[in-house]
Amino acid sequence: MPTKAKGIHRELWVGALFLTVIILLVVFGWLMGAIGPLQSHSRFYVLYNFAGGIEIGSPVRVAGVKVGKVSTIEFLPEVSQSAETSQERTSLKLTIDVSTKALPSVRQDSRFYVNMAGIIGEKYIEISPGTSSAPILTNGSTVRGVDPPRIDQLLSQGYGVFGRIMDFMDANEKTLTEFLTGMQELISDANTLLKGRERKKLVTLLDNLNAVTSDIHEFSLRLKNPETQKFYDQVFELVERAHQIDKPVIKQFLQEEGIRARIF
Amino acid sequence: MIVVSKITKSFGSRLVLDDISFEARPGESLFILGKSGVGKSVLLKLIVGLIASDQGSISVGGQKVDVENPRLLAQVRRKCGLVFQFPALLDSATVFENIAFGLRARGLVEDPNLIEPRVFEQMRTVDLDTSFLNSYPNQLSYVAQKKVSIARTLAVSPDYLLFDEPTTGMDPVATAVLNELLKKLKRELNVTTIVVSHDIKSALACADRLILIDHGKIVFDGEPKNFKSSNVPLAIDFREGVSLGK
Amino acid sequence: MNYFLKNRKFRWRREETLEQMYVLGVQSIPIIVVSLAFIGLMMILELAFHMRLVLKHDSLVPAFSAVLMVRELGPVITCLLLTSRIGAGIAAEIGSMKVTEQLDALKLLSIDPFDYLVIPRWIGSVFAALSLTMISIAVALGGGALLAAQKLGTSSGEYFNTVFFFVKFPDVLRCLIKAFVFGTIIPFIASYQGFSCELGSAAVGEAATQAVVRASLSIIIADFLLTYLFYAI
Repeated sequence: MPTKAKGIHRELWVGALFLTVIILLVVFGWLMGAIGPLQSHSRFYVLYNFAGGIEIGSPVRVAGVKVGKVSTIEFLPEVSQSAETSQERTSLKLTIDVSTKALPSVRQDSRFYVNMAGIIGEKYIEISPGTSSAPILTNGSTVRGVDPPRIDQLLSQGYGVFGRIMDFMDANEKTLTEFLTGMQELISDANTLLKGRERKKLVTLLDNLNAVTSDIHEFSLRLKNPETQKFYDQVFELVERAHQIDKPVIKQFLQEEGIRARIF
Repeated sequence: MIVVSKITKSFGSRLVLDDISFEARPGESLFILGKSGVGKSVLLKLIVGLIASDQGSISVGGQKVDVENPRLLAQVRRKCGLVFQFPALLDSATVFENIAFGLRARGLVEDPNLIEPRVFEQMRTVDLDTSFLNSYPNQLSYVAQKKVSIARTLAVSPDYLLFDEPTTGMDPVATAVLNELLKKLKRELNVTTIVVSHDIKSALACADRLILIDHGKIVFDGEPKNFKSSNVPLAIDFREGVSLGK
Repeated sequence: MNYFLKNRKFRWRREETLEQMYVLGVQSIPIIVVSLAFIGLMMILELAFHMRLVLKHDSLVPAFSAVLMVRELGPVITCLLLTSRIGAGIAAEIGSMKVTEQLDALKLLSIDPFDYLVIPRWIGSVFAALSLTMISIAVALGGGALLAAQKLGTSSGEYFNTVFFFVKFPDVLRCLIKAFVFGTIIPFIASYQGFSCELGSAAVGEAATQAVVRASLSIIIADFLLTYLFYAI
């Protein structure tokens, strides 16, 4: 039989237990970020076309330090155009709460990236600290975030290219097969040629070729010595003079010498 | 008036009550006698609708006892008070709470301050020491527990009082108190009482009428003086104190 | 079974309810706190051993133990312990009340035994399950932080950072839903066993045993179903 407790003692215990549970719940909620910490926040709206895995509750970091979280993610209607930002059309509007202590670093030239942390792959919004010359971003501002690279898109494009290659190969399968078969035959022929009886002949041929080239080498060396140079010069001179012998000269010569010849 | 007509009840293949009919007239003190296991207690439970009969019908104060109809059954039970064979006290509640229980549950006392006088009154009626007021049932003797049980039943002022073996395990003094109580209830409050018992002395002292049940049938129905001269074998056995059972 | 099906109007019984909240909740604190604290510590040591063995790395031990604690062990072990502590008690109490005709006496005093006995125990049991689960999780996490600091060289800040990266507030809410369901299962099964108890003291013992067996089994099955509902769909 359970022991009995009476009156105030019992009520006190039950009340204390109840209170403990409420306190624990609040503490858990606060630690896990379901209940906002008791400090002031500034709210910004960040526009993206692609959020890269950001969820409600994802942390917001300034210079790598956690200072807030994403509180809502909303899909913008097609026509919605924010006057503050460029004319560009964006499809997502993220509301982020940033602790006021981090505000001095959030300036108008700050950029809002979507990043991924560590091996776990937690996605967060990184706000790069702005330059001191730019004014501090005011509460409620709307800014354009930097869209993260579309890895999925790159992949899908890659798939497209692969797809086209595949199509081409499918369409020209016969040609390709023929080409490959031809190549194979060629190689095997070459192989037999190199391995067979003809090998000796080829070796002789190569030896001859070797001899010829070495002769040519010797010859060209000889051409380069001073005597040859002299000979060259003479030849050049000769050629020079020969060059001057053009048609009229020949004619004149022929006329003169020819006449003489006729005389003989 | 409690009218029992053509009641049949069996547990499994064992026929306990076979076509029993009788009535308890207003202000009458009716004793039902019988050997152990003849279904006397079953009869009482049938009357207050704790179990359902196989055949036949029972009406209490003109109202039919219908186990299937909780609302009507509640009305019947409000008229009845049943003192169980065993005290059946709530062992997690004190003597005071046990006696006050029915008063509170039925909303019989508007003012909470009036509950205590009523409880004291009932404790005096059953000759129970008021020092037991804040004791728990398991701290009490069996006789005292039984007295609490009777006080609890009397507290709700029922029109019909049903006792299941009230004197079993009671000492002679307590039995005498109980017999006096039965007489007083009849005399002063004109309460109809049905007592299931095997205590022939109490029966002959208090009963207006006696019913003897044997093998599921009524074998004797009449006044105590007729019982004394009855030739029914079981009546003779009871008179001579032979084969006494519950 | 009839008791459970009838239409009834419920009455707030302050005294009985408070009594049950005290008996089932407050008086169960020691056994639950001690058991869960040690289970939490044991789990961290085991996980650390295995993670070092396989991953050569134990920085995620606090996180995994906390996830397991909040999602499963916190509510389940608390309520299984609660079952063995109070389930048998409820079944035996109601069973013996039936045997000694106390239930019949209640009915004759115009008191619905279900209303009088089961509802306060239900409220008490749900209160106990919810509060003890919360306390046991807090104790296990606190003990884990201490052990992690001592044994793994993880500072408490680091410990809670890792823990709360994996354990989100919805996990705590789901854990409380589990505790609520288990806290409901215990008194209903136990009092059903009590109400349907046969006459005799052996039957009361049997009812108590059956109450613990069936309630434990139901809790484990309900836990699987709820986990499936919360995390697998």
